[in-house]
Amino acid sequence: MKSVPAGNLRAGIVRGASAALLLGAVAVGALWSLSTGGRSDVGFGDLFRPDDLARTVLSDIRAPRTLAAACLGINLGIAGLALQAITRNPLASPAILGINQGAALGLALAFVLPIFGAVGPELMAILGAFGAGVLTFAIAGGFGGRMDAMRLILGGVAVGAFSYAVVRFTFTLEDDIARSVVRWTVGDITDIRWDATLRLSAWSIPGIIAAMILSQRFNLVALGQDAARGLGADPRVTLLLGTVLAAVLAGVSVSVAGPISFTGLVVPHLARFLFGGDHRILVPAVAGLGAALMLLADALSKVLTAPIEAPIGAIAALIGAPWFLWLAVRAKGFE
Amino acid sequence: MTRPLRIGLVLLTGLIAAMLVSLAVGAVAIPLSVIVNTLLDLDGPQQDFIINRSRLPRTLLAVVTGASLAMSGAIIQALLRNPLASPKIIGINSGAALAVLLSVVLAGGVPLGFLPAVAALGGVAAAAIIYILAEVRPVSPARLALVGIAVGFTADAGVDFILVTADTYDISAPLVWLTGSLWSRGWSHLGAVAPLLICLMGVCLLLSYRLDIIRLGSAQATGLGMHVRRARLVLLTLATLLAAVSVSVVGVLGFVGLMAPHIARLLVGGAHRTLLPVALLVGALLVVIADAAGRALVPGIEISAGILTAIFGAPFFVFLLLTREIEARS
Amino acid sequence: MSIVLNDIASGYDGFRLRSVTLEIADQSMTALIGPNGCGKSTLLKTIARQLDPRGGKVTVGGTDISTLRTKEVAQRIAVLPQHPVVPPGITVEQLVSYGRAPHQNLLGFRTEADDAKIEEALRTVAITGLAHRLVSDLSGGQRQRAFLAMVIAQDTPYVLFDEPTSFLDIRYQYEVLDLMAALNRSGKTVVAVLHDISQAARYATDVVVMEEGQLRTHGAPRDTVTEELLSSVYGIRATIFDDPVTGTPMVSPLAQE
Repeated sequence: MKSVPAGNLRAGIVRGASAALLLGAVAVGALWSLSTGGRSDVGFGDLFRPDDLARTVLSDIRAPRTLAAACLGINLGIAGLALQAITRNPLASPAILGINQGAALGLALAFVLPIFGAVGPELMAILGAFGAGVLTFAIAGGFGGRMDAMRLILGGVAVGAFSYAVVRFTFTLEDDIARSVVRWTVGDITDIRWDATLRLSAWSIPGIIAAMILSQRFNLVALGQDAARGLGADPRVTLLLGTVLAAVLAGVSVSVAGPISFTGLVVPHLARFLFGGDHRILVPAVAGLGAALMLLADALSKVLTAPIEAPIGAIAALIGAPWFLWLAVRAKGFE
Repeated sequence: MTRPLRIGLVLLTGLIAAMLVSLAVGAVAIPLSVIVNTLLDLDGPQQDFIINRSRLPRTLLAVVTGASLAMSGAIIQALLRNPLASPKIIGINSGAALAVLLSVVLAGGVPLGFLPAVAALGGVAAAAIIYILAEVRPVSPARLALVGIAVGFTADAGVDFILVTADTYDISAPLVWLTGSLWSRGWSHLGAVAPLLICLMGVCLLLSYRLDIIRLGSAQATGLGMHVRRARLVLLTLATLLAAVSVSVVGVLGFVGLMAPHIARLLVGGAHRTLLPVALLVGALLVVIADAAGRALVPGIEISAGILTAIFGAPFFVFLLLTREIEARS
Repeated sequence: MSIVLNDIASGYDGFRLRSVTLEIADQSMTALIGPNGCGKSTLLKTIARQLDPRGGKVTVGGTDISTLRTKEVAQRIAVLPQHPVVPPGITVEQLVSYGRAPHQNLLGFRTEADDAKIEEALRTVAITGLAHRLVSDLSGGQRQRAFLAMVIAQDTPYVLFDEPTSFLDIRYQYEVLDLMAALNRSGKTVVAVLHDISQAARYATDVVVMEEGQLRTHGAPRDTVTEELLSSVYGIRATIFDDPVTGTPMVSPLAQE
């Protein structure tokens, strides 16, 4: 019979408790998000015994929004985790691939140029996101087979800065556009409906599965390029697959809800502080944590500044940033 | 002639040419001969008002702030040992924006003339908070970066929150101030910040070799007789002041602080004794060109320099990225 | 089954390994020695396919390694790099378990056999008690043992070490060398870049001497470590005498003029 070392057991208990707590937070966030909203007469009690009005409100307005918040948390969190793993850079996030800014550029073009306007703003945002991702990827050498993490980071920053500058350029030209795009560049899911939610959620489960499949590769890349290769995981392949995963997840999210920069950058760090450095645990942890954070942020965004709704990205940062700060200040094990 | 010196001379020549172009273009185009006449007070046609009152101070301000932001970014990237670091990471931009908005919401709006002071204070305060919090445990580049992100996001969340809840008209003027533009800046702005920025840059150049030693890692640096913690604090303070003072007069020119050091590194390599002066020239050149183009490109409209630095700088940076070998990461 | 290098040209932009032809005997313990910058590490990386040769062929156990997948290479050859990266937030046990990665499916789920190998590796380097500590919290000597355990857990017929004793104090140096010898006795082929010529002569069955990117000589320590070699390759005057304990050649430098 195999004996379990004491340290292992304690770590297991802590981990189990954290996981339970996380699932609890997701459930609380989901229920809270469902039970608040513009129609204050539809509340918590109506979740279980809805009348016709409540059923309409819940199924047509609140449910798609709540599900969207959770999926955003999952998609952006995992995209950020993958990028931080493959670049081995704690400052990496979906914004560094230029994806967020590319989506904003697509949208701005749809408003300014009639040709692009015909395509429709939402599709233009997706095209912009993927265009920026592909360009960054090409600059990093992804198509030549010799991809380099440093080039990926720097190329992404350049593509992002350029795209965002062009967006701001279009603001300068026309004031009206500024209003519709600015609101959108903060990150917002107020008016989301089922079609957008389904598009978003369709990628969440495949995203988690793909990240799980890559998780051991992420672990090995953390040991350095040579060591990863020595253990049988070609780091170039990891870099390629991780980039594609992050680009798809972030691109879809941005096209639906706009750039919510906080989640992709910080949720992976929160998970790492709580659960350690093994990506096989981090992938589900990031998914849970991202979903919980965004659900709570969604609920608070409806309550905090009522009757105006605050942008969900700002609320997520408002809850998450102080927590992150506290963990970062206390954390051991640097240098 | 060594390669860095040659590149430095090319950049310097380019900067002088760009400054002359910057004096020539705008709502009224001025021929070169008139510019020379005016500057040197020679006989012949002059354009005293436009050049001396408007374009000259503005161009000089572009040189000084561009150089300062680039130098600040180069120092912060070296201290944090992270290529994604920039003045933004130590909270300058977010702190300045939050301070300006808070001054509107809490104090009911301060006169526009005080905004630079408020912005600079906000930026320095944010950097100070980040450094103090990061000092709770032994400071390391990684912790400094993470704490910087956390403080920056907290301030950004505050900014977004105020933007959503406040009355748009109260905050629109202060916001325009922060968007990274040299529009309507004059001698008074230049006089207020240039002497300080030039002194700070001089000190940074003198200390540049310390950056090279710090890059070896704190153990090695200590072994070479350096008081790492003190040196890091001094350099970070200098970088903070350079960025915060620049942001206070021209707003957020985010791209310069991040990219000018990288462009310089791709041109002359990573030794800071040559990197800092080259970064300084690159930063100045970028902002002068962007400001001049912003006036010339679309007649009647001023396009802010913050936008154009990225539109011109990013493709050039990508070109360098594709054509040059990247130094191996330490 | 041996490691055969056939007319290898390899290296980075600034440095070239030129026409190296060499056969490293199966189950030997081969030390690569030579002055700084002679190409020892480049040679080691080329054998491990961390560096693709610009010309020539590397055959390991009868297979041309350029035809193998990265994972298949890792099932045959384990490498301890000179400066392993210490990832944050990873325990010793997790680190050692990564040694099993080339033998696992893509998710890295461990089998009972994997657990046994990991436990055995921890025991072999005597760090079972540190299993749940963070690698980043360990001292230099403990860290080196943790990475050694990872390499042992990889359980490959060929094990390569790049300067495994550098920066360790003398006790840990001999611990590492003894472990390498034990691995060799258990039937593995061990190749190590070593700095200390006397240590190399004491532990190795074969010595490969490199000089300016080329193979200088290859043979038993007694035949390769000579006074003539020390003066022509390293440029030092030295006398060689028999180690009083093992009888192997030992270097004692003379006053240099």
